[in-house]
Amino acid sequence: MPKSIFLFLFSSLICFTASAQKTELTFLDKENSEPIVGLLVKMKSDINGKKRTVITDIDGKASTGLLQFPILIETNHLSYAPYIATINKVQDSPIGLIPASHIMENVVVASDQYQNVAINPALFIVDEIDRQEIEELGGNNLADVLNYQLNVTITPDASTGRSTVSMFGLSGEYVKILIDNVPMVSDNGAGNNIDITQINLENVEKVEIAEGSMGVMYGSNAVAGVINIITKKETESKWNIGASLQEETIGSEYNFQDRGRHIQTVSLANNISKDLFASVQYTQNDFQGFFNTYQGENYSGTDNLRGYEWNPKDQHSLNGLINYQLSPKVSAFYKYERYQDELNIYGHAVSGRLGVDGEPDYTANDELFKTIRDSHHLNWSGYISESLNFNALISYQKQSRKYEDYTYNIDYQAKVSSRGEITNQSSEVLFSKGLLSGILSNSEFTDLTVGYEIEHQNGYDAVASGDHSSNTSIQHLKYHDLFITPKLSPSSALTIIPGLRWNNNSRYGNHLIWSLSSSYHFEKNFSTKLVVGSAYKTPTFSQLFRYFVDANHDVRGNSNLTPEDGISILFDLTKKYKIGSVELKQSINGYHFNIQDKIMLNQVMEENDGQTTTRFTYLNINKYKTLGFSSSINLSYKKINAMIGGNYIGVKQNIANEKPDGYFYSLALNSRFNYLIPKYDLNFSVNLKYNGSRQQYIDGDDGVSKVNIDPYTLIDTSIKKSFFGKSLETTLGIRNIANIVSANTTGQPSSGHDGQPDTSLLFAYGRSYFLKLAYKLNF
Amino acid sequence: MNRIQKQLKLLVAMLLLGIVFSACSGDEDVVRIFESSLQTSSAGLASANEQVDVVVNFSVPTIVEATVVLEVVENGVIYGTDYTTSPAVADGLITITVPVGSQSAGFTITRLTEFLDSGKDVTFNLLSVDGEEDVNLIGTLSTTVSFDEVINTGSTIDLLTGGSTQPNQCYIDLSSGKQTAVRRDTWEIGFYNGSENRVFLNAALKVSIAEIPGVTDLNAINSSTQFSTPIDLYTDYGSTEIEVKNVEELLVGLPLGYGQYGNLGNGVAFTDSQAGNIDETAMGEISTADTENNVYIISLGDAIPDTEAEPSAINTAGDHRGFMKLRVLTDGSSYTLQYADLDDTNFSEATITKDESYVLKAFSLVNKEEVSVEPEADKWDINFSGVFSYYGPFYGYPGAGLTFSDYGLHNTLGNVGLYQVIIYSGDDVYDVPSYDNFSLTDIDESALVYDNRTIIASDWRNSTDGIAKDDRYYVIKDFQGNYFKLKFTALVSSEGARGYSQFTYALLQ
Repeated sequence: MPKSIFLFLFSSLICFTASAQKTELTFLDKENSEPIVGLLVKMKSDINGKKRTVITDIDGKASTGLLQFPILIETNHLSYAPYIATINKVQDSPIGLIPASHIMENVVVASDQYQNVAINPALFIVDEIDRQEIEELGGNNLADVLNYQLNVTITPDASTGRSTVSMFGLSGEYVKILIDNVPMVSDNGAGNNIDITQINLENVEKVEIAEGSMGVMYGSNAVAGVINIITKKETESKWNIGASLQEETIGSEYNFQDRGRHIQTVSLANNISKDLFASVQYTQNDFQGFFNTYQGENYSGTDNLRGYEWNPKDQHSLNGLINYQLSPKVSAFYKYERYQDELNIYGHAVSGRLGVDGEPDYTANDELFKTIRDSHHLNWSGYISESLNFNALISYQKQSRKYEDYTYNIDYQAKVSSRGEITNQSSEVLFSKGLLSGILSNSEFTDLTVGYEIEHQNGYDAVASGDHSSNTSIQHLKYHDLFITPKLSPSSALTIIPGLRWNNNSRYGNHLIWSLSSSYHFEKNFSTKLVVGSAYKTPTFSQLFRYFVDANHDVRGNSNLTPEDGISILFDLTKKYKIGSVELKQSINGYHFNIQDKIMLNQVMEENDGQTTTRFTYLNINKYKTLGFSSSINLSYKKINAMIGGNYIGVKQNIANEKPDGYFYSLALNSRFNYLIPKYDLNFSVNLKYNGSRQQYIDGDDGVSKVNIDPYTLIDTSIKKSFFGKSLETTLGIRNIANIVSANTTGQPSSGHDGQPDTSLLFAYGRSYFLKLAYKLNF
Repeated sequence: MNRIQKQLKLLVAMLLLGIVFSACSGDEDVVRIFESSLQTSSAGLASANEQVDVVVNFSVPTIVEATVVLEVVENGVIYGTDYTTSPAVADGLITITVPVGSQSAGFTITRLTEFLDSGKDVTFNLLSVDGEEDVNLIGTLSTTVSFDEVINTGSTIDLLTGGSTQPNQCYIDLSSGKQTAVRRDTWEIGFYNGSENRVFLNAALKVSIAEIPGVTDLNAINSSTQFSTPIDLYTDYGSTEIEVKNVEELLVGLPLGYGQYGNLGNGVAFTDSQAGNIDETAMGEISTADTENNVYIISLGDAIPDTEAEPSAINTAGDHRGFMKLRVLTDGSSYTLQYADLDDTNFSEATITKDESYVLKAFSLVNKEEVSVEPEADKWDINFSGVFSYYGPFYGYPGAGLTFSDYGLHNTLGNVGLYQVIIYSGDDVYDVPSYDNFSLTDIDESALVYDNRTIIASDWRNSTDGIAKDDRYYVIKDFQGNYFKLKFTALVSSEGARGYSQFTYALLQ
């Protein structure tokens, strides 16, 4: 990596100064003249119909560029009456809004440009991680930022570098991850069990976390929730050139060459004409691994200390976007992304086989995984009439992984033999979705959205099925779905949205996925939401096709599995107050998941020629229930934003042939504090997450084991300062202040047959520091 | 900002993207390291017509036809009169043509004259390996062959177990450095040549045998025979009693495996004991009174599979080779073996005459012949086999028919003693010399084990990590009274394949 070239160019870019021309509007509370934060401002140029939607910042400012006057504006905020006006020139004076006494939380906003690529917050319980928070956390990939979500847990795997996400105690198989509404291609399918370290955030506008059953809008396996990643699709100025550099320690390990983490990003965006926007961005994330007590790849000791605690991984990501306004009412974009990474897994054991000269030749067995992912996404959206709007997208994604098993000679520091490179995983997904919304909007009480979804998957996964599986042949899976969500508003306070999806799966046939979401607004700033839906999940690739049989093991997938189903209930109560200049938002969530026929590994006895053999296979016979509630308080006072929340969740699993346990409850707490000092243009933030003791069921080679994980706390902090009129942003942060590397566990199965059971679970690499320099040139 | 400046900046940015993206690391190629060395620095030819092989080893197999050139330096002997070589010496050089794919090359030297004054020898210097690129000659570059008896001072033994199906068992004579490899499916039973009348089973092929009490007529037994008195046995690792009423039921529990039957309380095991002592054979003592020798049903073990396993894995158990019936009689100096397929109504007979120079004489029931397997009793110290099996407890836990791989035995019946030295265990380091420092004075004569052949066993390796443990070594006293120290140095090949174990040893003097 030519870091020196990068540094040179980076510093030369800083020499230019920015000169963006902006339309800036300030909104104040008409009663107390405090700035209104989080106000949705929709702007539309009356000349060319070009639209912008922005949200006011902490100063009540909504700024955008390149909109030709006159501009039509329309605001939307829970606590204020809508403001609709036409602005003819640059406006210096603030706009005062009247606090509303009885305003309904935003009804689906048909003209919201983001609507087509975002989860509708009126229908679901949605949490958001915006760009600012991503920056504060120094987040380069999704795993860096999701740790601080209340109902989310990240499960990392030190040996493979993978991290998966679980919500409400349900594993990654139950959480669907989307990029701009498209389920992300995974090792053996789409959307589920995604390695979230492979999702680059540099190009991301915000991350939406929707909780609860999302099956009607997002299909099967969206049981615990949906994480939708919204990428940036526009820029305010004519030209936008950016470069950023992030240097990070891994625990206390760092140097410029072969320790720590080194991230570089360059981006270029251009409003080529008033209708055409294009951008391109490249990021490298070079993780040099976490040594801890290990000694690296060139260590020749036979004490099993060769290699790394966390193996090094080098990630590259390139994306491009063209956004075109076809007509004042219709726009389209095409997006391309290429991701590739290289993961070396260095063996800990060193062999000292004697060479021809009788001296030891120190060698080790290493593995190299290379992942390549390409994704194409074409999106078309617009208005047919005033309220009737459509969105259609088609996407093609392909991911493949090459695997090489080789012998590394430590004395020569060279690969001396290789078992050859094989593609052991390949997966292709063709996805298309269309939505027509705003049908029947003429009627005051009803609205209707209809849509279709088509997904064709093709692929094989020799890792999930096991080395010895004969089922490594290509598997096909097709979905053809239709869905409908009418909206009923019997009164201005009550909204009921039932939803129904007809799911046609080439393997499991037809199935109906349903949901019912409703919201009721009591008096001022007090609302409640209830989301009830089916928890429909199809079996995973491993559950269907795994094959691991040797002298000591017999674990087989079961191709006759049927999908799991159940019910999910989420209840939300939100109240907003204002005490003087302190704004408070308090919410309480209650939830319950009840999954029938949950698939898990089970021991079965088989009669064969009078001999009874025991083996393990996956069966639809377990039950899984969760019951929990969470509560959070958001506070904002002048330049301070703070949040504190807690979650208490009980999980009850019944493993077949075992006496059912009761609910196992665990507690999680999180807190966020943010303070902006405008005088110095300094932003200070702290994030904290406490994970209480948890219980996990792990499907291993010797059956299911119940693992108890001890509590641990994660704390991150950062300070961000801008220079040269916000064109240079620097962020200095500390991750994992509590210096956590692993949590103690009990009940883990032993790794290897002569080994003791593991008593800890690695999930971090200790306290680390990062510095990010980001330069943006707008002109 | 003028237009040119903008264009320039765009260009720079594009260039940057290009540079960075093309900088993604490429593939690292496999580096071939070709090293060559002579196997030993010394060898001896004690009498006329004796032969020894001088071996040149390569670190990796050759990829071209290569030529090895050795220089011959005579010290008081004359080529053609006192000794000869194959290939022959020409112009003071030996030139060996090595085919593609070889990992060693060599020539044979034969002593011609019986009478020679002592102190005479011939030295072979390795000069070159032509044809291969970047040849690195390292280690032992000359071998001196003396015309006296020479005890091997030590060398590295690459065990010829033969890969992940572990097809061979190897017999190693430390004093000569000679290794003999034999396919482990060439024999099922071995007749003891000492004063006792005993028959051993081939544990490397998972052979097992069950006596039919009270039956001495081989023709009276077939697969549907009902027993006059049921046999009391145990299954489920010796925990569940089972009454076996006929041959059909017996055959279920006879083959070696976790389901194998036995009754250790009554002294019934279908295999020889793990320790391998003379009085612990599955068949019991063969009586000189014919009427006391019952019929046995033998399980012929599992065939050697044809397909290699994945790197780091083994594949040693193929299809079951079937059952036969047999009966052994003896007059004290020879054995009479009666044997037949289970349902045959007549049987074959073979006579095996005892020969005291061997521990066992091997016999193949399948091929109906005596087979040469073991070297003479004093010409092997270690038996290393890809498979070893027995019925009995495992580290104090109840066991059934257990199978092991990469298994070392020492020749207890041939009067070879061996003990194990553990250097450390976890963080505990014991007060014992290291392998390198261990010398003649450190030997604990009383620790030598003569009543258990499985001291080495498979405990020397860690199959999960694919390595030989470095926490232990062995001390051996051979039949002639020479002392050696021995440690294992590898479990897998440099490509990670199983069945390519290696040890090194040194003479203690």
